[in-house]
Amino acid sequence: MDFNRYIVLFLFSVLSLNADLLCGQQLSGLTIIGNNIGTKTLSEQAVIDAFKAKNNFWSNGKALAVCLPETKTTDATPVCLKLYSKTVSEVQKFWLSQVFQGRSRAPHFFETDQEMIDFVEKTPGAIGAFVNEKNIPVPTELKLQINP
Amino acid sequence: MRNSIFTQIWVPLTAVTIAAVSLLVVYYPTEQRALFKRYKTTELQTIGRTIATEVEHALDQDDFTGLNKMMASVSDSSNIDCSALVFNNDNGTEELTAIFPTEYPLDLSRLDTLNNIFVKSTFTSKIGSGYILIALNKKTLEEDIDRLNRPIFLSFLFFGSLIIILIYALARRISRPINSLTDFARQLQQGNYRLSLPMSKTRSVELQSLQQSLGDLAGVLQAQKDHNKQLTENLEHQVQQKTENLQLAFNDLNTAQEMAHFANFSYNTEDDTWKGSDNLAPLLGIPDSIGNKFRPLLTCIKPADIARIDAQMRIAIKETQRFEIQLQWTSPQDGKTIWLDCTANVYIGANRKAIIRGVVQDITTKKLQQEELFILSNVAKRTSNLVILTDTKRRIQWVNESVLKVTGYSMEELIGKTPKIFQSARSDKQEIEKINNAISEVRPVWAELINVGKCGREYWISINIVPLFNDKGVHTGFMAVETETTERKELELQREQTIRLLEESRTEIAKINAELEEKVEERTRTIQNLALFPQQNPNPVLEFDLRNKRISYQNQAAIDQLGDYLSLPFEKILEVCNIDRLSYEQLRESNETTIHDFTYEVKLFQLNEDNILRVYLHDITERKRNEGQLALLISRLQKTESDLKNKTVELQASLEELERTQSDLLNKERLSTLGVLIAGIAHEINTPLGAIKASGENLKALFSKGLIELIPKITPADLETAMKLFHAASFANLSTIEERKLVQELTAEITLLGIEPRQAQKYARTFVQMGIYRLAEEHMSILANSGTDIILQLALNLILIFKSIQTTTLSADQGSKVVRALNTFAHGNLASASTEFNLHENIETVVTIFWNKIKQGSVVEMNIPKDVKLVGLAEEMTQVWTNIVNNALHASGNRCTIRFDYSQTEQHQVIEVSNNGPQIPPSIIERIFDPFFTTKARGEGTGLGLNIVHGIIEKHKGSIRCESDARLTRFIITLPLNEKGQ
Amino acid sequence: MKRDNKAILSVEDDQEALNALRMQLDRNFSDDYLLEFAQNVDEAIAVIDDLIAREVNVILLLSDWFMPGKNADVLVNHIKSKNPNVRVIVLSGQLDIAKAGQMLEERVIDRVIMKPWDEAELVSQIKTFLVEQ
Repeated sequence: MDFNRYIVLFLFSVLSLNADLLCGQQLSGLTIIGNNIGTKTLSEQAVIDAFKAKNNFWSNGKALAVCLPETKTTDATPVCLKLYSKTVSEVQKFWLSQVFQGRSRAPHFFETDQEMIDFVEKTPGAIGAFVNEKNIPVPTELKLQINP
Repeated sequence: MRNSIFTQIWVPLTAVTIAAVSLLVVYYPTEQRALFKRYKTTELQTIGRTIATEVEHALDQDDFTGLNKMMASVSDSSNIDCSALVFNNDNGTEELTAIFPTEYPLDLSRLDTLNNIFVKSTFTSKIGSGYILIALNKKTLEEDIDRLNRPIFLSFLFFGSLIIILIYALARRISRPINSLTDFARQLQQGNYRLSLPMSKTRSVELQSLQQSLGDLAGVLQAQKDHNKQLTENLEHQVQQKTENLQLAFNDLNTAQEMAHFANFSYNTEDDTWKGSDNLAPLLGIPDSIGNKFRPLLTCIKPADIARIDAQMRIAIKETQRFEIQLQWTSPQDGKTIWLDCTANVYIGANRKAIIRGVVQDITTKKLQQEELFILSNVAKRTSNLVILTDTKRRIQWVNESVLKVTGYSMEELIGKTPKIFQSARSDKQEIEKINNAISEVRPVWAELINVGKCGREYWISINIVPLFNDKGVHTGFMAVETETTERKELELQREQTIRLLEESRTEIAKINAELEEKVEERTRTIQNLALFPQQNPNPVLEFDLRNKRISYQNQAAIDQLGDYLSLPFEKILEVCNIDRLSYEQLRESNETTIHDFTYEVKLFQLNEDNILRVYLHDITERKRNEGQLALLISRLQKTESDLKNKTVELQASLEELERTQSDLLNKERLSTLGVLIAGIAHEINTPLGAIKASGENLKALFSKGLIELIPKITPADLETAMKLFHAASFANLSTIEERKLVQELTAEITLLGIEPRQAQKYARTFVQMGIYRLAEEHMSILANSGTDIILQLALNLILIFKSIQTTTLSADQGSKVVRALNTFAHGNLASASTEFNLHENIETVVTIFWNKIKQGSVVEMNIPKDVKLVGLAEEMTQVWTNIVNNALHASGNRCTIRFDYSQTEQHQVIEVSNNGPQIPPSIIERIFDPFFTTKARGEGTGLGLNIVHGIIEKHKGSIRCESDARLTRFIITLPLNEKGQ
Repeated sequence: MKRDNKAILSVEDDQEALNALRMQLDRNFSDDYLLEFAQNVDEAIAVIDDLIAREVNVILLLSDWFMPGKNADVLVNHIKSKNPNVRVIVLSGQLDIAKAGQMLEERVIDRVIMKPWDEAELVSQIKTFLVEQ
């Protein structure tokens, strides 16, 4: 049966690796907003990269500012899971490591979605992710099209 | 250099500085590192804490901005090498979550091995706990430290160098004055006292006082040097003078020796060699070619003498004793024979052979003199003339045998009496007066008077009295040469009588002559008448018939008186009548003839043409007898007179001889005194010379080793102490007995201070030499001082320098005093003019000469004021003191106290010389000033000493008397105060 | 090393000569020997007896000859009776040559030095005698 296990594993890993390819579904449920990040559409991978702060600047030169829901909110877990495939604690660790190492600027955490929206609205280069359960109106200029 | 002050200051301080700097340099980084590390650790801890707090905040509050800023600032500040975020896993492992810088090689399990300083700051959050690890690379740290330290080190070095330079400057500053003072002291050592002290502006009190002291010392030394120089010049001058005087004196001595005809010799019996002093060969007339063996010289000695010498020498060698011999010596050079007196000692040499060393003296003159003296004294003794010697007071001092014989007295009965004892009541008063006048006028006199002997026998003497003078012209007495002229006197008396008788006779005769002339006239007439009547003529008248050769006529008187002559043949009768052809041819007036013991004057009367000769025989028997007696008397008188003349001439010669002998005796006396004193004087001169020479050597050593070597070694404070001691010192001379006692006492005192006895004695000796006999406070503090030895040594050396200079001066004075005294004494017989001289010095001269004898048991007290002056002959007065002192010493066996006292009245100066020697017995005290009077054994004294003294005092118009009791013998000399009234 | 039981005795009556001589002896010998001084024969004899009572031996005598009171022959006899090995140096200003020669021959005295004396000669002679002891 080992052979099968390996195949499963292989497939799983491929799938995992290509998670972003499948992230069209991956990031579903999340609302990604961005302000003046140089484009209105992003691939999922790009989003994930952005939220992993692979680059600290957008292509338009604006500084990346990552916005996330506070860990104590309900949005945190799905956002972390979907964006990072990690737990909230792990994401904390991740961001700790990032900031600690100076790789990226500190992310911003918001208690409520509205706060995040307000912040993103006034911060060029900011990008945020949340679960809009209450369906708060999101300004359209902030809305981002996420392609899988 | 090792011990210089400069080095002493600079080296230790520099060493200390360098050590400090090195210590700092070594220690500081370590400390600093630790400090720094701690600081850094604290810093890191702070940072870590802050980061941890931020992490906690970020994790708990979802606020990473703080952490962001923190990390930004941390990375900016670049204090940290690495910061790491580590989470503690649930299973106990650690998870390195983040590390910055990323490439830092951090191995959590092996933190210790890394060259890092680590600080862990823990944090806890809801997602987990962990720690922030802050690491700092030690090397970085150290580099930082070093970088930080570099300027510090540099500043250390800089300041260290600065300090060293300052120390150097300070040391230089301190040592320079000392160096300059040392140079100054060295200059002093080299004798350059005039250098002015380099007055550096040193602030140190000690150095200033040292400067001061050295300046003073320089001044003192300069003064001393000048003084010394002067002293030395004086000394040199004095020494030169003394040397010259000494040279003169020694020349005199040599001359004296030569004049006294002395020489030393030494003869080795083993090899027959001889040698001697320089004047031996000339004395004996030995040429240089003779060589040093004695055998060739034996020809100079008479064989009889050789035998005698040989015998005496054998005895002397056998007994190893001294021998003395007199012999005749024929000089090889000129063949003259001289007398030698040889005195020698025998020494047994190492090889048991005898060496004879002695003195030879030419005593020819002495011998001849002795012989002469012997002869003369024999003359004086034995001459049948009476010789009496008296003093100036006519007291008899000596008589010859003839006196004893003639007068019947013994010598003892006569000595001391005046010739008055010879005078009797019958002595002619006029003659006595003549004598007395001449005596008081001190001129010769001739007198003739009656003397009476012991038993009352009277006799006539003819006296010739002459006064006697010594060679200085001082009257010393009288000599009376007397001849017993009793016979002659009687003869003279007879003669006088006879002359008187003759005179009477003559007057008678004149008278008678006159009468006779008358009578002759008458007689002539008568004769003329009687011629015609010859018969009546009481005198024989004869007529000779020449033709017939017969008597043609004879008167009665002829028959009576001629008697049987008339029966003789004609020729015979003519012969009897002393008539010869010539007589009657020339009709010579008268002849004489003697017939039958009657003397006749034969008068030839006439011869007529018948050849008849008438002859008258005039009886002149009586007349003849008278004339005969007279002629006899006259011839006897003449003979006596010529005898007297001869004797007088002889006596005159004897007198001259005696005078010469007298002056010889005086010279001999002086020379013998001189000879005795010379030995003592050599000692008196050599001792001061020894002291001077030794002082010179002492001064050299004291200056070089005592001062120059010590001064640099002494600290300024100790030097000051030493100078104080020196200034306080006394230079009194202690006797060795006193000093020993003081040293003992002081040693005990010092030992009480706890100092070890041997050392204490050493200190005690030093203190006593410095005039310190008891410890005062300052002395005790000196003894407690660490520099005690050097202080005492320096002070003592300075004192010894002064003492040596003192010794030099005093000894030079002493020596010159002796030479001066000798000078005065040796030239004592030169006549000099009267001068004014200091009495004290005059007496001192004599005391100095006699010092060697005096110090053996006698004491001299001088109570003469130092300013008293006498006018007179200084050398002769020294003779006065000499003779009196000599007598006192001799009489007391050199153990007496002699005192000189002085007093002055309006008109006189009185000097009294007293001694506590034996009393002069009253029986002889009258005679001590008489010539030739001595109580010493024969040969020991000339007996002229006090006589000379008396003569000198009289010459100075003074008087001397002597009083003596059992306690004190006093000579009181009174001199008239001179015209200056001093 | 100080030889406490050996002494050098010097006798001289002239005060100045004594001072000068004393300085010379102190300078050369005071470290090693006891130095004693006297000014006449009686005093010297008293010093010798006192030293003997303290068990100090006089090994060298340096003396003038003619002095106040007695002459040095009395002193020489006395010291030889106490220490026959003593060395005697006579330092004199005046001397009877014959008598001196005789005394040297008989070994009554060991050396005669006339005044004025030379310090070096005196010191070397003393040292020679001291070594012989």
